[in-house]
Amino acid sequence: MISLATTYEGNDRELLRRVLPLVDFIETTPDSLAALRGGRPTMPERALAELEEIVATKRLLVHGVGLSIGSHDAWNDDYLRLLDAIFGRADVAWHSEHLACSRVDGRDLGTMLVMPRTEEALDVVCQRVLRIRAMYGLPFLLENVINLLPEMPRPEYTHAAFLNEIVRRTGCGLLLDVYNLQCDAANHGLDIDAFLGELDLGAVREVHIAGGVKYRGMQLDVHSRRTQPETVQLAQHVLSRAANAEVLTYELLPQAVRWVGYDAIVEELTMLRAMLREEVAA
Amino acid sequence: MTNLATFQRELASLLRGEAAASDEDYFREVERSVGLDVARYSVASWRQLLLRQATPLTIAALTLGGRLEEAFRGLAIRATSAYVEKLACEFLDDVTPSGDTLLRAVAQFEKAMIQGADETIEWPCEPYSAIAALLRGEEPEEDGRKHVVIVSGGRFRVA
Repeated sequence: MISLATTYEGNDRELLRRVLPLVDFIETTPDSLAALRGGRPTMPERALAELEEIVATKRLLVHGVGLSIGSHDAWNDDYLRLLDAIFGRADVAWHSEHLACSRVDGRDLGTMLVMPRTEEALDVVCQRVLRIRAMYGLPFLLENVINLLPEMPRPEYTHAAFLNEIVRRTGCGLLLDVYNLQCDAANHGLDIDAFLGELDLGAVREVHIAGGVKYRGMQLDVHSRRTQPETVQLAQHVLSRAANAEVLTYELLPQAVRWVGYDAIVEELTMLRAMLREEVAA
Repeated sequence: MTNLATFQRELASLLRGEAAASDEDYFREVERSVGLDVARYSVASWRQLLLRQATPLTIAALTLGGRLEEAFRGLAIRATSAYVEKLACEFLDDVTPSGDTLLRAVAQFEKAMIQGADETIEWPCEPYSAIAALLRGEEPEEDGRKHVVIVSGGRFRVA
């Protein structure tokens, strides 16, 4: 049975009240909960208390955006302090991060750059995955991100082979974002069937699903809408083949909650829950 | 293929709106691509969304003065942090040197409030009416007098 999760980034008690009865897991992003104190990001006490309250009835997943595991110079140590604060207060089933670079030479990019699929990049990422797994002793997953820029010339690995090699060298799991796959298919012609055919689907532990918007003909991963039926179908397809997948997570930006509305979010989660139950019945 | 450091530094420069230093064909291709425009738009939209929540008075004053887009372009080059408190302070520092006394006052005011700093700020108009006018998108009326706002620990009072 696949469990259902959704994102929650604090400061919205009504959202929490509405979604908690519908999900098995809550996924939260440390960077969104954090506040700067003395120039350093810290986890506010009220956010930690709310996470403790959530884990009293549901399981918790931590999904980062700020580690920048692929930066050529260094990852973001501040993010690790946020993890320390959360792990010290709440039981977490696993944590995950994007396979990307969001800082260069200590400066935030405001977005995520995909990793060039080279041996050098692979070495950088794998060393850090091994480090973070050793530091926390929790399962750690990496997520595929979208690429808006032109594809890099002469990659040393295919998209799937790059992920497979990280899994093989480090033992980490994968968080497969099927909406991001659709973005890459729309923007760069990624062959999703070929990608899934090559990917080690046994490493996929969590699947992300979302809805976004187009701008100048390109599909963006802004997670600001309900899902499209074809995204749900792709998630079903992956979940039926990924033997170790445990969770399907509906992602929605906290800023998009008021555009989508509580009722529509409840409808979305109800639909996904019914879909997961039908899968079991079938 | 270039090494990882060069690859990331060049793309970071292009995202900020600067030219790539490398003359490799790939970076020229990125520079001309729709995808780079879309990525810049995506970054700018996200930062603007955060700043409209964190610095509403300064955004309103810039909008009234027709200088909002210029201020956001400057931020794209100089922004360093993903955290809204720091991003907002970088944005407010950029606009504080303005010769527009109201804009300077509201930017200093919002920065002091965000930082929880102790600061005394001169406003060119009555502060409560000015805040209300800005939030309605209207130009506050200057009355030719100086008004003093004292900010301390994330609270303020008019002296």
